[in-house]
Amino acid sequence: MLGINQFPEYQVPGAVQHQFNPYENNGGSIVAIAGDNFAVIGADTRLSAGYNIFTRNHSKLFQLTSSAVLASCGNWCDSDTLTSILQTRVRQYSDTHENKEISLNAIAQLLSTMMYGRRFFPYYVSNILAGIYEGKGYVYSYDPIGHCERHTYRAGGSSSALLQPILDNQIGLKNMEEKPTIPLTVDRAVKLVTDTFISAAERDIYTGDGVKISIITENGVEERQIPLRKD
Amino acid sequence: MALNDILKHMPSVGDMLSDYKSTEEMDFINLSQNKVLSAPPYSNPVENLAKLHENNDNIKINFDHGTTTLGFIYQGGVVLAVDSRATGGQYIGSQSVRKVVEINDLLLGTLAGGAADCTYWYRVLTSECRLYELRNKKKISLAAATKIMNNIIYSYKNSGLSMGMILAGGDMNQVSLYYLDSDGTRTMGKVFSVGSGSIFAYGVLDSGYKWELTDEQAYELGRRSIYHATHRDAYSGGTVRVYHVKKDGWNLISEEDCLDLHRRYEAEKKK
Amino acid sequence: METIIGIKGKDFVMLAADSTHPHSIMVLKDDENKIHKISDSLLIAATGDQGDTVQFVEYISKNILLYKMRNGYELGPKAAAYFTRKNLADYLRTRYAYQVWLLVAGYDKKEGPQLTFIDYLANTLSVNHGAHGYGGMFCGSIFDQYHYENITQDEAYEVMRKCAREIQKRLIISQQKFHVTVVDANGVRRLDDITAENLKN
Repeated sequence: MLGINQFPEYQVPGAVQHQFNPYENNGGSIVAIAGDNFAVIGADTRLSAGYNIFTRNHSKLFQLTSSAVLASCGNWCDSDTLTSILQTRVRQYSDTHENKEISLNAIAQLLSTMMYGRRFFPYYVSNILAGIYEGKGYVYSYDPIGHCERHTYRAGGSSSALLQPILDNQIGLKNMEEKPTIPLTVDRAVKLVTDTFISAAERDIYTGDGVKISIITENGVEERQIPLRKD
Repeated sequence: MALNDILKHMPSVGDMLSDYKSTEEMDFINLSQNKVLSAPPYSNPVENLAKLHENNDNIKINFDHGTTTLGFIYQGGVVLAVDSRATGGQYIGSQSVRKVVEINDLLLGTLAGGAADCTYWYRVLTSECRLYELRNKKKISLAAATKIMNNIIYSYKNSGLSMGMILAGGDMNQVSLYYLDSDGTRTMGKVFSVGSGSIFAYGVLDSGYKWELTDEQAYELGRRSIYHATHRDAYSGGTVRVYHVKKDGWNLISEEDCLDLHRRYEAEKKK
Repeated sequence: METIIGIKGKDFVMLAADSTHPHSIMVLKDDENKIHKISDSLLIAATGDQGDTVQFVEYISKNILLYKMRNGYELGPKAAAYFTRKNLADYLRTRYAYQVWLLVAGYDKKEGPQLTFIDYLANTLSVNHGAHGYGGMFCGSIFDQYHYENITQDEAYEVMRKCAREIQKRLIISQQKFHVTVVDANGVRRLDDITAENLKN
């Protein structure tokens, strides 16, 4: 593309270059765990940009149906756009299908396709979708251009590299010679999610203030909020 | 006038750019027309998207990348072997990616490069193959399937897609192997390896390859080539999957963790 | 990076092309055919961007076939070369210019043999001998010395061998095998490949 850089003789004092950057990192971390018949998903409640904390009570969780919750963080304006369009589409589905709720795996694919639609100008977001489908718990995670993969547990956002190893150890039991057999119950999953956030708040400036946790079971979605360090 | 006009093919990215409209409909046009992606509000996405990131140290859109995949033909059919690691920059995003895509009961494809690019376009190809079956009452040939994929990829040439695919399957009562990539290459061959670990995989593969391999020898050659690539290439790892493709269908032969393979091969060396 | 070369004689045109398919620092394949048979009296040898060559040559060849179907007679080698040039030139001024280098070879019962050199900018020349690619640079002087008006097919094949030998001796990029195809009054014929092994004899 031809720009002023290609014409150095015009680069004189007074020549103004305009530039617009549509991306910003607003931080935040998200974690989700799938159990046999439940899924737990959590997100911290801090919204920040650089060294400024904008707010300490900001939800990054979006309940899409009675059995699906999406966590989205990264560039907040992109999360906002993406989730509101997704929520509209979820609503449209039930309105055109005799009030039948869209299934979790259908949402997972829809989100992937929507994100890939913006392949050449991506949403700068980290998404994790959790929920239950036909009685079983599932977690789906995404890269910024819509690569979707199903997991049993997953961390995303600014401290994903801090949180994922904890989960690999505690739930994935990765590379252990003698694997302990601790059943994964709802309580243990909630405790693990809480603990990972406590750890992240200790080491990541973009994570803190509080965690919002959604527990998805056959009876619907239960929300809990746990305070974190506020510094 | 191009081939497009004769085949009534999709508009290319270039055509899309000129009528960019920022509407919700255009943003997600691929939900209704799966081969058309929304155009960015700037020209030349390769350069300009990179520029957006350059100016902001904080923002890094690292999407999943890095791979070793291979495929070869021998007397008993085709062997495809892949690793399972996805990396976003330095971070290992996943150790459990399924890099062999099962298009239908005759065709298989491997993915290397951008994970989202590959999975999205394989999904489109899968639907095209199914539509072909419904329209023509017969299974699509590998030559036709790869040509469809190649035409789609070629129309997005130079727009920044990153893909390297090996497709295998039954074709005119025999098995064949194709290589496709985002430069628009489509070529048939005997031995292919794609991805950051391919140089290492080729070393083992070329030294052990011959047409007369038995099935077991062929699986082991594929498995070993990938294992050695995961050992040398930091962007490859996880589990090694081996598939066997014959003219009447394919089979998953093995899925083994690299660590288990490493221990086994080390033990064999000491004997 | 790859090489295509062509020689015109009194009653034939001979093309040779190396058979490598490079991909970054690797040879992806060593039996790639770069000499495309368009009809019984027309050949196009193409090199350049991997995707573009196939797409462009296919487009040209299908249109030449279409012309034959519509009109009942074929485009002559001169007309075919002009049609190719025109398309390449038109695309040059668009955003999707084809990066292709071509040798168009044909034989016409009235006009005789015709060898046309076309580069990616659509520069077009009717030549007695021509070459593209790094390997082609070594061939110019060989043609100058050994090519003459009444060169026979056997002599032309020998000149191709000289070119291949020089490329394998002096060019840093390995090109082990050359496909050779000839077009004359009897149609299109594939000759024996020139390989590093048979050059030793």
